[in-house]
Amino acid sequence: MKAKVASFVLLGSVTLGAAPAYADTSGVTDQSSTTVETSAVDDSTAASADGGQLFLASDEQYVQTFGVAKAAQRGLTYEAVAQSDSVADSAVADDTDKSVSQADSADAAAGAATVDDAATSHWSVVKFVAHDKDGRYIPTRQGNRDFGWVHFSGPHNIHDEKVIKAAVNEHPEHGSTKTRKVYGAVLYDTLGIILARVKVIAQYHWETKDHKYKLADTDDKIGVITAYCEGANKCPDALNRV
Amino acid sequence: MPRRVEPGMTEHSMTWDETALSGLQAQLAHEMLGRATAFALGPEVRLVRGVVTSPQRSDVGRVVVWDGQRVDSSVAFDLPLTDTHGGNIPSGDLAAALRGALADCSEREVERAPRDAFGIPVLDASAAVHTFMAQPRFHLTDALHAAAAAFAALPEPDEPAELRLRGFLLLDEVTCRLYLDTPESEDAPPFGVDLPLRDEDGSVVVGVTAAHAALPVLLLGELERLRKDVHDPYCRAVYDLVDWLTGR
Repeated sequence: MKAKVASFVLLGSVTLGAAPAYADTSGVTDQSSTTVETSAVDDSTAASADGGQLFLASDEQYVQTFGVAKAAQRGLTYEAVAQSDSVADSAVADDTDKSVSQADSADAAAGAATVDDAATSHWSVVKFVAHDKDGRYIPTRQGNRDFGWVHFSGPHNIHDEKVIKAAVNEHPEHGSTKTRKVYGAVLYDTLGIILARVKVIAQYHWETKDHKYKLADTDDKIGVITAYCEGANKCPDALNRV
Repeated sequence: MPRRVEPGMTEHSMTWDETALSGLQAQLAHEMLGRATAFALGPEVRLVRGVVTSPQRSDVGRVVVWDGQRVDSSVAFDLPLTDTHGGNIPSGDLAAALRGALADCSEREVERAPRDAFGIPVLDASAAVHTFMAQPRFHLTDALHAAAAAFAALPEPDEPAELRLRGFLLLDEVTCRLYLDTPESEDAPPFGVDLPLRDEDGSVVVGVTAAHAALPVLLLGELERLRKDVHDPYCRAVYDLVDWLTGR
C-alpha cells in the first residue's frame, strides 16, 4: 500500500541541508535520506523548533503520505488491525456528548500534570478526549501513578495533549485486541525523517485489564493507559513543541 | 522405582509434558499469591475468616478476621467499596487499609461493637479507609502481591490469553521480578520482568496497571531494548522495566 492522502496542505517551508539540533535525540533517525517529500499531511500538526520545522502525524497518516516502503526504511511499520467493534455514528454522537461534559468538568483541573494534580483530582477525571478513525471514544484521564496522564506525562516526557490526539487519529494498530487499542504517532521533519515514534495504549473498556480501576458506567471507557516513545525511556522535548 | 499406573489409567496419561507442567507451576504461583500477605500486627497475625456482603448496605463489604485458633477472636470490619468521588476503591487498597484499622482498633471498641447474627462484633472502618486513601501507606508485601496478582488475573472470555504468571520473587526492597510466559512459549522457561515497588522518595507504590497493559505490546519488539545483562537460573531472559516506567 502506498496510498497518498487526497489533499495535502503545505504547512511550512522545506528546509534543505539543515542539521537540526534535535536530530540526535532519537535513535530512529535516517540521515541517509535526501529526498524531499511532501512536507505534511492534511491534519497533522506542525511547528518550528530548534531551527527546523517538525510535524506530528499518526502512523497511518505518515504511511499514507510517504508510503509503506519509505516508512519501513525509516523504522515505521503500520498495520491496521481488523476490528469487529467499530463504532456506529449514533454511538459516536453519544460518546462525544459524554466526553464534552466530562472534559468541561475537568477543565478547572486541567493544565500541566503535576503531583499536585494527583493529590487534588480523582483518577477518573477526564483531561481531554479523542476519537479514533473508527469513531471510538478514547478519553485521557487524570489517572495516578498507576496509569493515565499522571503516569505517563512526567516519566515519558509527554506534556502536550496534541501528541495523544495525533496518535489516536488512526485505525488501531497491530497489538490491539477487543479491549486494548494501540495507536501510534511519529514526529518527523521536513525531509520526512522520523525523530520519535510514539505509542499510545488505551483500554477500551469500563475497567482496566488488571481489574483494579473500574467505572460505574459500564458504557464508559477507561481510555489511555500509557504512552511512550519507542527506543527511549523519555520522549524528546521537541515532541511537546509541535 | 517404577511409577504406579492406576487402573484405567494408561502410562501415557501419567506423563506430564513441559506445557502441562508449566500449567501446574502457574497454578502454584496463583495459589501462593494469597499467602504473600497477611495481617501481621507485630508478633501477631490475623487471618481472614470470611468475606460477606453487608446485609444493610450493598456499597459496603464486610471482612471477618480471626487469630486462626479461636473463632471467638473474630472481628468484622465494614469497608466502603467506593470512594468519596464515586470511584471504586481497589481491593488491594482496602486490604491495606484494613490492616491499619486492625492495628488501631482497641479491645474496648470490639467489646462495645454491635454483633451480627453469628455473634461477631462489627466495626465500621469507613473513616479508617478514607483516611488511608487520602494518605496511603503500603507494605512492601502489598506491592509484591499487587504486581503478581495483576498478571495472575484471567483474561476476559473474548480476549486472547497473552501473558501468564509462572512465578514471582522479591529481588530486594525496591524491586520484584515476575516470571511470565506466553501461550507460544509454555514449554520453555519463562522470562523475567523487573518492576519497581518504590517511588523516587522510597515510598512503597502499589499497582502495575500500565506495565500490565503495555507488556504484551512491548513484547512485539520494544522489550528487547530493555533486556538486562544478568543471569537468572529461573528464567531464560530478564527485562528491566524499572527505568522505563519511572522515566530515568
